[in-house]
Amino acid sequence: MPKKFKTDVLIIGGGVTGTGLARDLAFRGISSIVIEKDTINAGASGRNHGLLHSGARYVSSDPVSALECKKEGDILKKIAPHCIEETGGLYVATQDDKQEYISLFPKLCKKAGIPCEKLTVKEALELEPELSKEIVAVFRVEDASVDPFHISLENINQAIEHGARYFNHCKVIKFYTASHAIQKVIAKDLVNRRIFEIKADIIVNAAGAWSGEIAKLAGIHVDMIYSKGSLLITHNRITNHVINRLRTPTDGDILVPGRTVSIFGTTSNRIESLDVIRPSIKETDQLIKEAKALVPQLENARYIRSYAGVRPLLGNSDSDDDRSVSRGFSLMDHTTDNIHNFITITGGKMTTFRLMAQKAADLVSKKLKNTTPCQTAVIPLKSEAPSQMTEAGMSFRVWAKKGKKDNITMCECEMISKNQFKELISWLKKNKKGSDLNALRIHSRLGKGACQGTFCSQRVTGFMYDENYFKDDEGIYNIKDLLHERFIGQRSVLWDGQLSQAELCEALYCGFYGLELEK
Amino acid sequence: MESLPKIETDLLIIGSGMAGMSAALFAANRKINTVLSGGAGGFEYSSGLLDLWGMSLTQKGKMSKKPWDMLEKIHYQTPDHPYAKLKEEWLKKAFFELTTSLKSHGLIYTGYNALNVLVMTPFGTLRPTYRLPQTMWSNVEAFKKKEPCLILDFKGLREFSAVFFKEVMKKDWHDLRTQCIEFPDTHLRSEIFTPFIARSLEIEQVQEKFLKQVKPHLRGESYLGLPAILGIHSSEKILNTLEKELDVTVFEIPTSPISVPGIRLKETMMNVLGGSSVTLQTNQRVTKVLKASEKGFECQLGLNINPVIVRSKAVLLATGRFLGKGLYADQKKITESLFNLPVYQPKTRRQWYNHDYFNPEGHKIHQAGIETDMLLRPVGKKRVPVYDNMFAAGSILAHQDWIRSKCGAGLSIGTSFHAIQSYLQIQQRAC
Repeated sequence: MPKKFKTDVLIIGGGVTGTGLARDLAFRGISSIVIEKDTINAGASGRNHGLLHSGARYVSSDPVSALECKKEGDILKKIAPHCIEETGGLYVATQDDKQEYISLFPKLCKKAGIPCEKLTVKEALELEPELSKEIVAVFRVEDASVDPFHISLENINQAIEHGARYFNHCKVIKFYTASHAIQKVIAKDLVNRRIFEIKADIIVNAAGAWSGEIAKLAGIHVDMIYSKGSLLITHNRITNHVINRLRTPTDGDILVPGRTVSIFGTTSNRIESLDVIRPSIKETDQLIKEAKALVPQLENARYIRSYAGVRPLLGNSDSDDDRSVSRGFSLMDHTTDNIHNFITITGGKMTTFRLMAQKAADLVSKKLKNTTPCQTAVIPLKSEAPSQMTEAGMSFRVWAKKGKKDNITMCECEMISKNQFKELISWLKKNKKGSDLNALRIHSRLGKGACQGTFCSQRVTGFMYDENYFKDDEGIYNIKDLLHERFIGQRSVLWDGQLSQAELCEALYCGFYGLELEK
Repeated sequence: MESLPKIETDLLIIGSGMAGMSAALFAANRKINTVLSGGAGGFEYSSGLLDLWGMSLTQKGKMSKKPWDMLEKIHYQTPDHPYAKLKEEWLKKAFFELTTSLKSHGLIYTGYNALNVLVMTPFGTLRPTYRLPQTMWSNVEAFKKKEPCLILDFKGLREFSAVFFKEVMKKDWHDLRTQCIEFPDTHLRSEIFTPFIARSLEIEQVQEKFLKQVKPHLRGESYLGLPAILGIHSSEKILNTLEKELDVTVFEIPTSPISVPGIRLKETMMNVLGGSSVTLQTNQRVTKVLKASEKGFECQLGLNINPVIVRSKAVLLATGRFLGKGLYADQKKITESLFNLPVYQPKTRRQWYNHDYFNPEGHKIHQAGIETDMLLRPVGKKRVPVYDNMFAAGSILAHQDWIRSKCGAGLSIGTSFHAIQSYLQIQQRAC
């Protein structure tokens, strides 16, 4: 007999929208299960710049979205200051950029209601000395840097604290439809391969780029465009402001500081399938070529990783560039498709996730005749989880405050101590989450520094054995999985310093330990 | 520039890793007037195991116990491999000469006559090697016998976990017990490293305290396994003391960096070179090549701190790969760092790495490197030596993947031996 679960709402997709929706519903007293086939933010939610848009990027193409960004940005800065760094942003034009757009930009900002201040080139260079000396115009806006993992973890943890449930590594495989409604949902646990059933009054499809595939299970066609964007992570933080190229959106025009690193991107390439999403070497090179016009140092910087995400865009676009497809979101009540308890929420962008969740929750509430209003804009987005460990530079501060006694550093790149891992594991256990290396990586900065797991993966594994979290040869597979995952992100940036690092890592784990021989 | 001190020598060895140091040792034994330059040499990252060839050439992804059979196959299966430029007899002589020199300075390497041994790693896995320190001999024996054994680790030592070792090993070996102890006088330290323990154990009083701490934990086991920490210069003696006082057979398990057996190897090799025909300019990397021609070479060692100029008739390039800085990769291509020698490499960066990190076949980038003639002289177009008097040895050589083949030390020892032979041959020809 398959295991059965019952809930008010089943949310498919553990991205920022799905987790945000679970939080929203939880505050309204509506129970939910979030089902995710991978892990938190495995899709576009975790694979973007980490930029909290001021809205300025959309003033020309989509002024409505622009204002939405501004309003939502202001809300998030209030409810989740610990996930956001208010860096401010600069829009910078080079000689090659169109004068027409440069002079139009402040007017468009004003019209859309986006604060924007003109700076002289000299002022800009004083703020950001790494900017190219060749720049010709600069505007300051209210961009900020946000940690999307931190946001989603807070969302889901807060939802769980209010009664929601979360299943990861579980995939929806079938809907049973009768009397114009989805009667039950069949899902598969991808870890133990078990099939289980979920009965829910409402099913919300928040699967991002995978929304089309989920809708298809209900026999509904949602036309999605898959637009892949690749980004690069530098070894050091290059600038303190978000740097945007002042031109209509194109490749390699945003540099976002994220605590100790900077993130640069993106590309936009239409892809046909979602099977393999990873940055290519060609894209990496293309990005770096674009980068030097804005920040010359980016040409010779050390890059530690690259990654790619797929923008969940709605189809029916005739445009040549997917970035000009509306970034507004879409809420579909599939009653129009003759299924009255199925909703799809897709499109949009991370900055407006809360609003997307609110609109979806409003529709769910209406269907369930629940009249509690949305509270996500006023309740602080802060759970009891030790999720500060995802924040670069934070571990050390916490650790230093507590004193060094009987505590040792496990990860030197990110300064994470043994006791911090202990604390994290006990929280993971308490919340019935897996406590393998992958879970530790997601919930902390393990493997995210310059060494990309070379030293820490082995030490942390040793510690996991010492504390009886690992048995038998679990540690070997855990190390292999972590290093492989870290490699995929490094592959396209392996030259110069990061290549030497990778050579050391491989010499150790393959040359010495021979892990390629362990099945 | 004129004011810089100058050293005249016959041979300049560039690089003080396994290849450069071995070459220096062979040069010293042949009384060749030599200068050895290089950075730290990476010995701290080395396991201290002397691999010759660990993998099967007939069964993919399988280890081999018969390195010499494999080497015979290399000659016709992969004729570009640097080993194919060496006679079996030279490799044997090279290993013998090196291990004899080490032994005369107190570092004993052991192994089977012609076979690989399987040594246990900290992950509780086995790997093949050809020669290993005497302090690890019982590591090999213990696994075969599987008699009761106690594995020790130390509070604050992050590089070795006895429980990790036991958990993976237990399916083959039931009688394993673990114990974590505090190394003498380390209660004020939170983190400790293996070299610290090893150097402390060189002191008799520390040994006594250590024995007192270990003794109560033994319950009549036949074996006591430890991470590799038994001293730097008198490991053999410390091993004997422990075995005698504790009445148990003791063995070491090689560890991840920082690695004591690697440091032992380096420091013993330095001792061998003391008072020889080799002038040590280690910690001085070659920073500039001022002249390079058929007549000889002029290289600057060091940059700001005591730079010197070395004039040599010949050069032996043993600068290693990317980590050693012998090779350099930018976004587009791989170059040789000092002489801009031609580098054999895949056509584009896309081919450097495949998508499966742990692919037993390895990644193409590891085959990149310097191609040579049969005398190990780097060659250019038409396979003509770039310089008559330049030789290359070790991991910088092309057409080998020491990481996957488990041949790192053997490659360095064998090719440096051959390079020194070739150097002498060319000198004779010139006379």
